[in-house]
Amino acid sequence: MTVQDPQLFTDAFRAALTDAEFAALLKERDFSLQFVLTGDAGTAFLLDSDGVHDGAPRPASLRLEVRPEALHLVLLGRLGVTRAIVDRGLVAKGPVSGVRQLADLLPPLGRAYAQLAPAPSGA
Amino acid sequence: MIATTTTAVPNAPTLSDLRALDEAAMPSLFRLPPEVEELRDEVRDFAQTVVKPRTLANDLAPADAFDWEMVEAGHRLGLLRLTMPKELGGRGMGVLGVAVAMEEIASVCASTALIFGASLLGQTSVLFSGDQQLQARFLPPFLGDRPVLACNAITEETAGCDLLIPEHAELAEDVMTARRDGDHFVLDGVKRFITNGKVAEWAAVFANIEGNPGATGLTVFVVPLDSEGVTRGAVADKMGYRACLGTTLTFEDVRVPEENIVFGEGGGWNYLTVQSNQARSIVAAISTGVARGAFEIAKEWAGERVQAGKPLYEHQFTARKLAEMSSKIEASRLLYLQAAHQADNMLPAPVYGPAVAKMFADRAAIEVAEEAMSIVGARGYCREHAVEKLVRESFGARIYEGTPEVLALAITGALYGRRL
Repeated sequence: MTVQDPQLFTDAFRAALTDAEFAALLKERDFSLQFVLTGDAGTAFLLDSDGVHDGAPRPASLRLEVRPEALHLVLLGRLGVTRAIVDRGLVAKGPVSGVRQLADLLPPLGRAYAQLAPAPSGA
Repeated sequence: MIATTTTAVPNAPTLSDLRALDEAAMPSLFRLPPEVEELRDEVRDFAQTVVKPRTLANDLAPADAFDWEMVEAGHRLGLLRLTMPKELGGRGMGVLGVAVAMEEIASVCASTALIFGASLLGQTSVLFSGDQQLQARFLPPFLGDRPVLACNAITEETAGCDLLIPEHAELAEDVMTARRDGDHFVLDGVKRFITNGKVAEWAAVFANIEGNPGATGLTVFVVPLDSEGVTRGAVADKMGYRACLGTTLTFEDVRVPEENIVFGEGGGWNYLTVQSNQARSIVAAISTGVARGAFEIAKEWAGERVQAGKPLYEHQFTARKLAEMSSKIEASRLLYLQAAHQADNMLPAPVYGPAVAKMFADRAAIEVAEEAMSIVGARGYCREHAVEKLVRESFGARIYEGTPEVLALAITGALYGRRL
């Protein structure tokens, strides 16, 4: 799978939810994230404590419109969320407090993603 | 000779009173969140009891006089840490809260609003960066007992709009440079008209990394203003906004560690766009406050002043003026509230709404202040009258954070899909 493949992200996020602590955190905060992958990928999915759902089954706490390449770098910790926002690689729609909560949620997502992500070119 | 016949209209409500009466019937779309309503009431009290009694003296004082006592009172209220998250000790307000607070202060003194607004703007880069190391170094001073100010240093002698319009980046000339020297950068250049520059502890300074044409390498540096090589110049003797000090800041071989860069080398333009789109709704709120302040004075006078046996407001010509003035204020407020709400719910903030709000409110402030002076007449033309000051200040907001010309480009850019 390449970075462009949305399934890479959904597989990683499903794997992250097997971490009981992470799932509990989402449930406790009643927090959900809708990812809208822009560009050729052009797809959307929603992550909540129950799983990863296709499309937009319900309004999310925070909606992230993001280029797959930027999401790849954010999850691997190579690009900060605010830098991605400033550079317009990522648009966050929803209360700003939701963006702050991302700081707690990204590390477990990133760890799961790192297990599946393609190796950097040249590696 | 000026005729002086007046009669009071008892218990006439202010615009704020009318709005409060209507709030019960307002759908939630137009109601402020409870924490913002609470802040508005606190700041209104601060504006009326602390700022208003000092406004005239501060306006007539020498250009370089600064009212630290007033700033300290605002600091006790939390105005200098308004946007810091509560977990860091701040008041946790977003753009909406700041905008509403600024309208209240600007309704009695726009330049006092700008003292607080410019400091918050300076902090924004450090807050928004999410860089915990920068936050730990530069935010704690705002939490202490003593009031501390920040500032944002963009404008230069040869570059005002050239450092606000991204398409101008390559054409900008003689912009402040930042030259790498090991793990430091060396800043050289001069910033002009920097609000709070004379009194701030540190500045978010925009400089072009050497070797990049024009300002294409624009980068944000956090620079303590007591750094070696920084000189605070004379205070500009301005037409209005006299309570806040606009100053030249000269940087000569100022060494800044690379960890003081916010948003990375060359990240200045992208950040500047985000910052401007957030700040414009706040400036629109300041203009709304100026218009409101002028209107309330004109309304009071039109209720008291009797000509041809009846108060001015019963004369159709004046009634029409008052009605149009209040309509412009209500429209300005709705536009800035909408824009601020957008900025609080979308990162990066959109271009269109805040630019439209600022363009409308800035113009409305000038028109309302002018009409207020025409209603008050000879008294309003005198230096010691608040309307005279409000007329002068009404022109200020259309210069900073985007002139009408810059806003027009932003708005049409959004309309044609070039800037969103």
